[in-house]
Amino acid sequence: MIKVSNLTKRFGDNVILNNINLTVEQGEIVSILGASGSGKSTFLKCINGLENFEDGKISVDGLSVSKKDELRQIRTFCSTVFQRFNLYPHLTVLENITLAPIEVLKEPINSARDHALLLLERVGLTEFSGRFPATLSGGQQQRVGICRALAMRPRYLLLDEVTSSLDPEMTGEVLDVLADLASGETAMLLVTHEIGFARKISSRIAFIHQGILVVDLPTKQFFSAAGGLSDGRVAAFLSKMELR
Amino acid sequence: MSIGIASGLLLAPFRYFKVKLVGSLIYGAAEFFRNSPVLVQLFLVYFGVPMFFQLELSPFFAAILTLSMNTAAFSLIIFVSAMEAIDREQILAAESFGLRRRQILQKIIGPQAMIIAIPMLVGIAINQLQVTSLISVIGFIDITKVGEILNQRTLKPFIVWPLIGLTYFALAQLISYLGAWLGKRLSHHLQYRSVVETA
Repeated sequence: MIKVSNLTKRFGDNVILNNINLTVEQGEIVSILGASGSGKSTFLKCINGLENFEDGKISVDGLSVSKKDELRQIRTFCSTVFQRFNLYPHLTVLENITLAPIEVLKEPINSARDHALLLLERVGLTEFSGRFPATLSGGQQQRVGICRALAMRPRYLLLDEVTSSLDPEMTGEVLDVLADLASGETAMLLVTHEIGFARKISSRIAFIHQGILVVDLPTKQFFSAAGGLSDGRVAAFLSKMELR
Repeated sequence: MSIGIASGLLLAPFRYFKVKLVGSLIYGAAEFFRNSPVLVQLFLVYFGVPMFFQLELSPFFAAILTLSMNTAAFSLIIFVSAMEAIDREQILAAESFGLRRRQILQKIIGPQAMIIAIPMLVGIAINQLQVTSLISVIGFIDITKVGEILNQRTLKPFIVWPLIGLTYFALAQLISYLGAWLGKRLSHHLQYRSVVETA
């Protein structure tokens, strides 16, 4: 279980995240919506210690993000897929995927390779295993990014606007892969602008507005007039997104 | 001579890059070596070390020591700036998967920084090759000294000096060639061609 309690993050006098509470159970899929600059990406980065925070507590399966040793452990089962892929350009697709399992989990090379090839097959990229990231399209790179995260056999997957640097036509291929994963054991916490997609796969939706978690409801209720839409900020955000 | 430079060059990344992480003491030393004339450093080492440490220094050793430290100081700066040129976001990704700092240096930063550093290192190496002509002043026989001796014996400066010049030229070319070869080997991913499947 990911448990965030009273999380507050500041940059100088700016309060980026204000007293946020959220839990994600094992196997659950939770989407975080919110306008650009609302702090949702920063929130995600706090969960696996890529950002520091001033106040509050974050624990993943009972381990504290703020303790160095425990954070290292958390990172072995809580993987991130990044908005801008962040693949290692000097390594092949296969090496990108197997690096962390081999170095961090000490998985034998052969088994790491077999697992990577299995994942690549699942996302339809088997024939690209020997290529370098720069020779792939954005959508393909992001699918490799997903494989790299899955290669750790994570219990939790953090997805940071994984489609927002992709063309619309490539967005589909990445979302398809994620929808396919959603039926599995892995819990997902996703920050996204794809409202339709969030609605389709999440069990719960949280809405962040100017650093405050305003609404946290089961998906159905979030989109109901009596539930999430009764909050003016949510309604305004959703209607703005629909206009696009 | 070039062995001295090469070893200084080879030692520099390992030694200096680690010390840099521990503290900024080495950085101060590097500043000294970067900001004073090699000739002054050479005198300081050759005459200073025996005076303060009661050690006999052969001209050969003094020359190697000075040039190595001088080269190390310059390459330190090159390596640090090359490392800083690596995109922060992939390092963040590596961190997020629990890689330790040493592993990130070794697997992510190192190989990419090397590609950036090589052309600059070649520049330094060629420059240091010319600087070796200075060490004849402490009585060590380098290429320039050989030229002087040959010139005095044969009294044919127009044959001797072009030959000496050509020797430097050939050595410098060799360094450039090695640098280019190494750079090419390391930067497979920058050559946009389909690579043989590893699977």
